[in-house]
Amino acid sequence: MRFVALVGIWVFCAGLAGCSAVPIGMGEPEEASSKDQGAELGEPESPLPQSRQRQSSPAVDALLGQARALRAEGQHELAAVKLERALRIEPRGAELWLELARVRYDMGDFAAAAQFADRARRLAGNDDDLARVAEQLALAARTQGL
Amino acid sequence: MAAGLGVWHLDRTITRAFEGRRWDVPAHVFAQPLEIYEGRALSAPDLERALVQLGYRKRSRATEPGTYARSRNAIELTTRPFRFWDGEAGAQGAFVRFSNGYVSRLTDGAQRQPLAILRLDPLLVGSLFPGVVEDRLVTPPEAVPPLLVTALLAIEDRRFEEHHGLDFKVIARAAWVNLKSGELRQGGSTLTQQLVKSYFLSNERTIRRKLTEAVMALLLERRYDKASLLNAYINEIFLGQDGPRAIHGFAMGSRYHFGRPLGELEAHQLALLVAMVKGPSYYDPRRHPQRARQRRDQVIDAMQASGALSAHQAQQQKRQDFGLAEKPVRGASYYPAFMTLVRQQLVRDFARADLAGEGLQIFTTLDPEIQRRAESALAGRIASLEQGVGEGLQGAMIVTSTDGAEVLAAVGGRDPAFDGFNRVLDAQRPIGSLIKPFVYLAALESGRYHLASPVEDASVTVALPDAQQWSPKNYDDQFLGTMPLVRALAESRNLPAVRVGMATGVERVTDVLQKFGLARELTPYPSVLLGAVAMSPFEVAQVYNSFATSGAFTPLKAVRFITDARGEPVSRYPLELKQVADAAQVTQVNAGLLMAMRRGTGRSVRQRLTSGMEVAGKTGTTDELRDSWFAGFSAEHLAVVWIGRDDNQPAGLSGAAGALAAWGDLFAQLPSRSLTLDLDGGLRATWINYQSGLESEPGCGDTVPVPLPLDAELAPEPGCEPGNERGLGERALDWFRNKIG
Repeated sequence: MRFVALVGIWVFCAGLAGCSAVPIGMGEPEEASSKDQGAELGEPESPLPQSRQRQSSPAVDALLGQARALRAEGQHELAAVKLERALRIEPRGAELWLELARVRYDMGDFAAAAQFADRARRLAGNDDDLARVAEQLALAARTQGL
Repeated sequence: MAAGLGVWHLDRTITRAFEGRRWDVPAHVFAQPLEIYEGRALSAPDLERALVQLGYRKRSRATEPGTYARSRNAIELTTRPFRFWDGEAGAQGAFVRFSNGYVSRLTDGAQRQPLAILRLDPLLVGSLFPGVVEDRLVTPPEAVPPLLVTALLAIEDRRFEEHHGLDFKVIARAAWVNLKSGELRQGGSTLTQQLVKSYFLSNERTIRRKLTEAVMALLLERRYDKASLLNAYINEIFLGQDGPRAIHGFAMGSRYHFGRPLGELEAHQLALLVAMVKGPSYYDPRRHPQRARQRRDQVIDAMQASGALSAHQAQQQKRQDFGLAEKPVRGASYYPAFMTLVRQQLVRDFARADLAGEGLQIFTTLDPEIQRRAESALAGRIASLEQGVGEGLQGAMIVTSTDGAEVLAAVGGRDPAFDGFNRVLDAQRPIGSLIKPFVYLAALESGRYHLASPVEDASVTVALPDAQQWSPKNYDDQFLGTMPLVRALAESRNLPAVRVGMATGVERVTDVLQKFGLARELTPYPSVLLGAVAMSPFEVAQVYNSFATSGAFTPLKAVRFITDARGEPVSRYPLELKQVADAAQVTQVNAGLLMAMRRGTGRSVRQRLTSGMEVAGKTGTTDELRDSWFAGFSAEHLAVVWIGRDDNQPAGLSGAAGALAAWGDLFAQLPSRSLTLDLDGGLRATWINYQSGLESEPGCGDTVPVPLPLDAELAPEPGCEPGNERGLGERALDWFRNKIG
């Protein structure tokens, strides 16, 4: 079934396109449509194309960039702190949850990694690539955690 | 012998008092720092308020750290350097432009280059002492302005460095004055004596009292050096009364009277504070400006006499107006309810001895702006409710960030500055209908129900184990017959909740409460199904937060980080979560709670929210209207409100009339993201008839959309069989435009 009903502000979406709820209302000013704006900003090692759902936010991008750099240096706890800061700004940022899952995975905290990856997958919206990566990471974390 | 015992006792008493509040080793407690970035909901007045609270000074150009300049839609500022957990932040010049309540542009100060994010130094909100948490502002010895010490000694105790606790020259002079007048007029107390006096807060002026204080002063001087005594004095001395709260210490005095940190005061302002030591109400600069000015100028003269100021400087300082804060700054540093949560978290996780370490820095989750709004929402609403139901109402409010599970604000009573009974933690009250989402989630988890399942609003009698019978009633004493589960939840019908709960099993309900974060065992009595379980607002916030995160449990936290005095990491509370329920099932309950706000018990508040703002929530009311509860959340924030009476007498308020209204006062003003329901795998949106629960063409009769499991099969509403989906979507929109628009 393909069903997209825009119900006032209460948004349901389901079916082939994947599923997401689009946040509307306060706190979402000047939502930039970044449909085809290419890959993750200056992050060549990222296997993920930019989420079509994600809004452009210089603050979140900056923190995510710092977190990735710190993770690459093995500074996992600091990377996590940056990501948590970014999540306070964008609590539904699927990429942020996914990156946090990776950090925890690197640290050997597989239970947390699986939880964060699940969250990333649920928030992935119609970014199928991100959803797939998150699902794989969750599976890997659960396997490791056994 | 007796005298010896007496002195020993005095020694022990005064040493304990002194050791209990060594002001040179407190841990500092900070609010969360304000982060500024483009797109953030923040107005120019909001930012200015935060800057003033932090003691930033307004200038025409903000080039120095700790200053700002304001135009109508922009603020220029330079931050103070601060060492955060994730790195040192230097002083940063910045230019912030606002538009419609949002930050529209953020650039650096000099070059106007875009800046991704700017973090202000965090507000110091209190101090932690070995064994005690007090949200006092404390000045460590190195932060005391030398000029303050000079002024203090010059006017209050010139021979402080020489005497051993008592100044006999001064005493002799005072005795002479008293003898002449025939009464106790002049004190002649040293700083040490004044310190002793302030520990025991007695205004008794008997000879016996004086002698006791004198002996204690001598004992203190034997044990401690002058520097420790002076620092204790600076942090302890009484500098004014703000309602029920005493202002102790120069740091608090400075913030209260000038709205600024002590270190930023000018000479005449330090002199004014010192002037007030002699009699804070007699020399109150607001009520008695002339007197205060005279005494201040006397202090300035004494500063000049001691060589700290030149004659020219002294004259200049005397010409200055006080430069008081517009209103006494009280909210800036007094959050007793929140501090209790900080203490609770620390005591839970650390040995007391570890916290006594010198100068720990504790970074909390407190959001001063949301705290301010919560305080005013609760106090304002209680005051207006009392016009209807009489005096004596009390209340509590707690606000969390849903995903981070951080406590952003905690208000322990209608007078938030009163450091007494903290209702956020200590008021354990039956939660009434707040239980219903747990009843229905347990029912959905059993696999036998979904939101459209028919439930019976009809009388029910439950056999209790002791051969008694329980026949609960609806709030309106009516029976509405068969209805879909979503309506029973939205309209908070009691009888369907009891029926569904009994069919599901009460233990399943208490299990849900526990996995959602209630850290207590509950006995599964049937009466639990109508909320005969006492919980604190904090506990309610914990279990509802798990709804707000679609079934992820995260322990609520009030502390993020702890560092040592140099900023080196000591401990951190990382983000964690545990999915404890199926997200799709929780989403269905949340849809019911959203329906409660649109059509059910919460609807009275919805029109007051910003247009397009969706929230979910539940009212709770207990027998004879003793307790008025509301718990509700957006995508970003959750708040729980309780209103009632401390003596547990009926308050005359339903959940909707009391707590919901206060909650609405907060959320009507709070920038927050609208709630959205995630219909990921396993749910589909379906239109049903709100009365019958049958699948229906939207707009054909009284229809509402609900999320249902993919495998849920509904019979069609006769005469309203759903048509093709394209038409269905369009008609849904039309329907809502007519209905809502």
